[in-house]
Amino acid sequence: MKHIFIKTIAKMFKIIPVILYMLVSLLCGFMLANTYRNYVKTNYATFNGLTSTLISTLTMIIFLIICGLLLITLVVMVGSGLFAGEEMDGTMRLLVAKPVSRFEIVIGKIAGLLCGSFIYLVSSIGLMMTIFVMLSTVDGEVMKIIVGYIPGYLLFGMILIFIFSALSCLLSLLFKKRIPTMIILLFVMVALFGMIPILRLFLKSGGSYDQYHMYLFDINYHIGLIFYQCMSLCGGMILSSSQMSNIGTFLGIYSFRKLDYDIISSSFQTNDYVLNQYLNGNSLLLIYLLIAVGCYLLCYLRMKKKDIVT
Amino acid sequence: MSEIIIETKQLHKQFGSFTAVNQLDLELESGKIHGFIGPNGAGKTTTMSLLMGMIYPTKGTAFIKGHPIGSVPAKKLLGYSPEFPSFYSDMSCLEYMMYMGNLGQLTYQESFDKTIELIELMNLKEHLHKKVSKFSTGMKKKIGLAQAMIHDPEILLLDEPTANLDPTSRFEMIELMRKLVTERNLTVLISSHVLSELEMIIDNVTIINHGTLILSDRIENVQRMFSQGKIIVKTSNQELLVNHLKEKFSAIDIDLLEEELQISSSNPQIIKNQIIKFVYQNDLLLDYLYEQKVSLDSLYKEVIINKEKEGINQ
Repeated sequence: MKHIFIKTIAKMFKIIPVILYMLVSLLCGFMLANTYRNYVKTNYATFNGLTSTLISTLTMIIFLIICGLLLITLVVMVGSGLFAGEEMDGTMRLLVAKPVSRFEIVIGKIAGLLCGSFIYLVSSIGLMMTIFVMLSTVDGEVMKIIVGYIPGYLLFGMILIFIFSALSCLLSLLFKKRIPTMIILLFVMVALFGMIPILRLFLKSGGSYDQYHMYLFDINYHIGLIFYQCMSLCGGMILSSSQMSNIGTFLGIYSFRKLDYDIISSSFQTNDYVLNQYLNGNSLLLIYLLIAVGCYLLCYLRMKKKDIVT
Repeated sequence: MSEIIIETKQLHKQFGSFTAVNQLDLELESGKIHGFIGPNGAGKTTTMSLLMGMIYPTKGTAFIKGHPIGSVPAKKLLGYSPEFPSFYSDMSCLEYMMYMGNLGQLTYQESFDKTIELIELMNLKEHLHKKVSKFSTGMKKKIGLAQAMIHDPEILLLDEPTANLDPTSRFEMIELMRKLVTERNLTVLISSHVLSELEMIIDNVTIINHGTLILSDRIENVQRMFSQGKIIVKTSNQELLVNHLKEKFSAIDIDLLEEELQISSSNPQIIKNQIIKFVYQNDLLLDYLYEQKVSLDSLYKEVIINKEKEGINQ
């Protein structure tokens, strides 16, 4: 099992994906440092405003770029070929013919994928933060607050890896080639980041979203709520509506609300965002984790019964 | 009597409506080279895959030295070299062999030592750091055999080890297998379509067709069984000899095949003596006289092709 695990990790760290990951992480570091520099140049810069702006940008970068784009793409690319690729190349026959149980093959490969993806996540966030610190000469107190949010981001990344790996591995075992798996997962990604938010806007304007309980199937909202939950689970780092303003409405976890006249006159605000609590965040997280565990179990059962033919 | 190392009991494999292996009962002795022959689609590779635990039987079971097929202890005893060996495109020969050794429960050091030993044996030392996927077909076959042997298995399953090789590589491969088997006292189950080569190295022959066992025995027994006391003779006057033999022995069959006579008898020695006596007495010229030994090729023809023709005619 140890050798399959190491081999799977080693296969993930090829030159091209590593360079791509590093470049994007560096770019994210530049973006964050640039946000910092632009904010401190303004006349109305305050401590609270600075941290809020930085966390808002960081949240957007981590949610959309590092987790949403890089991590899911990596997990989908590697996961889709984890079993199907070996079967297509004929190397699965070699593995099965060696004195290794099928359970060890499944565990070794899945653990390798999870571990490799986690290494990518940590190194990516690490590299981005290093660049940010180097280029921004950020104040220690601000940095302390930002670092406090990192465990929440890591937890969310790990959960995302766990869920998407389960789906990729299962599909990889169901299909003999990696292409159908990649098409299905690509469709999931397009749905998650494109079709669902647009469809939600359309349904919400007509009132059918609430009427037909569409939030039950809104995986974009689910992912958003899981993200929110991860942040609150890690030291109560609850993201405010302003910190999540970039992605909050995209994920559908916040709704726009008109404020009362007396509040408007006292705070000079004309509107506010409220958290959509259609579903309980903890229960949702648990359900998604249970589904992922179920997928891993199905992976093992499928592998246990599968004929490895030429 | 050697112990039975591979035993199948009513082993059956169905792919949809196609029966690949049909209730196969097989017992293979240890320390022997078993030739596994049959036409394409006969079920040879499927049987090997079943023994290796790559596919599961629909019915029946099999044991490798008492261990059920597909179990880790059974696989520890087996080494498998497929007809078309597959390799990781990103691995060098050394990395690939090391990985195979590690999967075979060897430590890094054991794996390294074994790799060097086998690579030297295969004369591939100068290619140790080259990518296996770039090797020639002959070299790939050698590596396929080496990876099968890296964990010192007791049984080797070789699926068409000489297929797609040029005559020189085929000869090298045969010599290599002969050497390995003699030195390491392995049990080998080898499938091949090049029967003349197989004949040189096998002790036992197993023939299957349509997934059904046709025959499994020691090659000498099979040859004796199928030769049926056939004598081949050519003299300067075949007609005279035929008349004489028919007069003398009523219970013999004589066929004239091209220019030679094929005589079948239950006691070939007496017939041979009589032919020599007759040739001497009648001053005939004897071109040749011998008792026919059945080759694997003709055995295959007899068992498979003729039976198939009979089946079609019926």
